[in-house]
Amino acid sequence: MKVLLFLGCTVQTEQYAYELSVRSVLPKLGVELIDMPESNCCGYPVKSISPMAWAYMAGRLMAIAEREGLPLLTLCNGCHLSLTELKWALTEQPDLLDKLNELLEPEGLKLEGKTEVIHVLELLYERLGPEAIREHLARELRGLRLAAHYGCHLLRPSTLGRPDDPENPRKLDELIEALGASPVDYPGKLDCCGSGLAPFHGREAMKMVGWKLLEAKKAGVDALVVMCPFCMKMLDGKQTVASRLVGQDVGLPVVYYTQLLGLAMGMSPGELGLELNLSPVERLLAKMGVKM
Amino acid sequence: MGETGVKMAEVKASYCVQCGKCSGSCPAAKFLEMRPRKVVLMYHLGMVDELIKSGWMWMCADCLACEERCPYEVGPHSLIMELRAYCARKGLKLPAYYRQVASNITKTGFVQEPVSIRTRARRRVDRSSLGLPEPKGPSRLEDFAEKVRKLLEVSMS
Repeated sequence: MKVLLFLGCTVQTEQYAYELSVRSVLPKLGVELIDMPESNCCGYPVKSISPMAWAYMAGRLMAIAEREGLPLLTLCNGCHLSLTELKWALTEQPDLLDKLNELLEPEGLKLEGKTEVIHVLELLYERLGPEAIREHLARELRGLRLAAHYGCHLLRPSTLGRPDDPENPRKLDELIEALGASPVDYPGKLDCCGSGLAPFHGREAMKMVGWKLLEAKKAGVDALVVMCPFCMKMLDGKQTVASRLVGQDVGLPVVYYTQLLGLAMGMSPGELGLELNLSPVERLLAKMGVKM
Repeated sequence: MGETGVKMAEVKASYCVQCGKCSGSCPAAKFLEMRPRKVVLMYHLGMVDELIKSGWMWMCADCLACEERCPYEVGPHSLIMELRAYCARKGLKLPAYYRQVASNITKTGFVQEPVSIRTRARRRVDRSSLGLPEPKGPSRLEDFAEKVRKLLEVSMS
């Protein structure tokens, strides 16, 4: 299948490991990635202070996807929620479409609001499926205990239709299982990474990172598996400061699912950007018998 | 509380029975003063000025757990976001984060420009050294920026 790859701000400006692993893995699974001819921020960061600015930015992306005639693939939970919410707003408020087209028309764009918006989790689970993924594996990740972290915006609010169940999500767990590893439930599984709080109350956001990681560590897992660049930025990137703030060592390998999948498909850590993870991923690689 | 130009999720504060499920689900409440249950109550009692003074709307991690779990669909998260919009419309001081984000979006189309980062071996890398293609912003950036600026001005005046 062919999809329009929308990276979003955080992936394209700093979370390069997600992009590297997506570009390495998905084409080998038969997904053709088409780079967007142009794009912009999905609008989510300004949604609360300016709903109209958000709607214009999200609408613009959808209009570009409509022009290209392709489904829009998002890597970020926030971008996925932003675009899904715009589709909802367009059905709730019939005159919004005209307002947005007034803004988009001078740019040669036209919005219908029908673009399919797909998150990587949906692409892997719904479009390809765990069984099809298993056929591409070079090795099984037997013996690994892994904790799935879905991220808030992938699950909530369920009224808008989210990719998995808000209280008992299973899809990422099943995708972990498809690689031969054991998905492990842990008390903080649905807890937030703290990213949304970070711009306003940094210390408290870092404490959220710390407690979340401690919950996963207590469950005796080898790594935490994420699917959102914001969650990665917090849970992988802020372990040193989080350890200091909660007064305990919260160090735990954190990887993108696409990195894990690539390793199971026999790709090298370099192809998957694993040298860009800031958490102690060597521990995970050592368990798998893979050299950095 | 006002017109946003876009219909957002509804706030139904009068449905609230003060059960506290929202505060119990709130990850920020573990570390900060904010309690979604109190936000809903104060709003219902018309204490908007006090709410704004409390700064609680900036103590939200945007996790949506309160919104998801509320048994009466009150929408505590929607209310907190509406309080943020209210501050913007009234021209009240917003956290510096918004100025930064607005400035970057109007300069580049995105919340920030690509940065160089360090590998685990402390080597500096960027998009080009990693072999990643240059991201393409809005084709007519000035046009895009002008529209975003105007839309933001309406709410941040």
